[in-house]
Amino acid sequence: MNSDSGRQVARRKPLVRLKALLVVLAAGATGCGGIVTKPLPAPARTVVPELHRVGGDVSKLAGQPIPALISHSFKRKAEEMVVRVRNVNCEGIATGTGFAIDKTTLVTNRHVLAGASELDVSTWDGHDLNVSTADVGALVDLGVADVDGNLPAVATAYANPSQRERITVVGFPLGGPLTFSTGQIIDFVNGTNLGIPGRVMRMTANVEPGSSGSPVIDSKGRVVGIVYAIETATGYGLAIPLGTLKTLIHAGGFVDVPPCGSE
Amino acid sequence: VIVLLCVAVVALLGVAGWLGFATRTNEHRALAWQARAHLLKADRSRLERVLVLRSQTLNNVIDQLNAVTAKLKTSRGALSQSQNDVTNLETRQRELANEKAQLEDQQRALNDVASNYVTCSGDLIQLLDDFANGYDTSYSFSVAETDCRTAGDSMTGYQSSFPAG
Repeated sequence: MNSDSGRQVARRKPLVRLKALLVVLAAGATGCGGIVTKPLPAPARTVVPELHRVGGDVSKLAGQPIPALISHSFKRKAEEMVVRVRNVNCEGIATGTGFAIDKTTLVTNRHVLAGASELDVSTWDGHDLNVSTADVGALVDLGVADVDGNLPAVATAYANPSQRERITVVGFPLGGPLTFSTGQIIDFVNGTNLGIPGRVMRMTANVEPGSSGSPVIDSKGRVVGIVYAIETATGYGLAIPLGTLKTLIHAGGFVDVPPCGSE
Repeated sequence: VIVLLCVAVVALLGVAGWLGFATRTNEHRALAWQARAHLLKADRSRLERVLVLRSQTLNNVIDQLNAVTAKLKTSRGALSQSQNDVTNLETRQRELANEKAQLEDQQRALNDVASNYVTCSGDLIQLLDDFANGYDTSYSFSVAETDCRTAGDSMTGYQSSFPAG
């Protein structure tokens, strides 16, 4: 019994040793203590601020142009270049219109300046300018006057307007306030019977006494003629086209303003 | 049995070797991932700081933009009001310029009328003097009559030209 049990112990010993070896090997193989088990720290929370709202007016206002305080329109330029002319003569006073062709020179009709013992010029805003010298056309109903001081705006001229073109007459009819009278060029006729040696422009724009010397302005703001009369038969306004004017000025030149009662 | 045991031992040794190798590899990978995680965490923190700063800057800009827009809106309102004022003033200026011109015209005409009446008055005084002195008054009467008629005509002309004044 004892010898059997001693033999069994002797047989068991290698098995025990083998088991122990396997355990050691397994423990070594699994790398106990070498595995990374340390956890990462939790990230700190960062609070990102909420974005503010862009106002609804920003895009609306950004797209809108800033309006100009002072208008530079056709109308503004027209009223600035036109002046009211008062003729004080032996028969009383008469009024007409003129317009600036440079900073100190204005153009009007001869009959607006004729017989004047005193000429007064005032701008659209009520400023008065002294007339230093005045002359009138020898052959045509045209007058020019130089003023002391500056005229507010200068006209741009155009010599070749066409029929049916839209025009505006700017002036002081009946010596009243500045008015804009719109119309159309009807035609260009021989002016011999209308007191002008050359072509005359007829137009539908309203013309009254006091409109004499008013510029006839086309749709682009250019002066194309000068009002000088009304055709009594038709009531049409008559104007001297700038082309005729240039020819007549070169042909006849200018003379002194005729004295009162001579015309 | 011994042979079987030896085979088993060899097999176990193989498995243990393979497990050891796999464990080492995993450990290296884990360390690499950990290092990468640290880097990413640092990057994330940096980016979050940048995001906070950018958000604050953007909010400042938005606040300024909103303030400028409010000012612009106010300025546009004021400009619009100014434009209306300028337009109204210009209209009034035109009216006043016209009234001034009309008054000057009237003044000029009245001067003529007054001058004619002064002449008429002088002629009448002369007529009275001639009459008082017993002189022939026909000439002075004729002159006075003409000049006073001229004065009357000028007054009529004035009244027709300026019915209100």
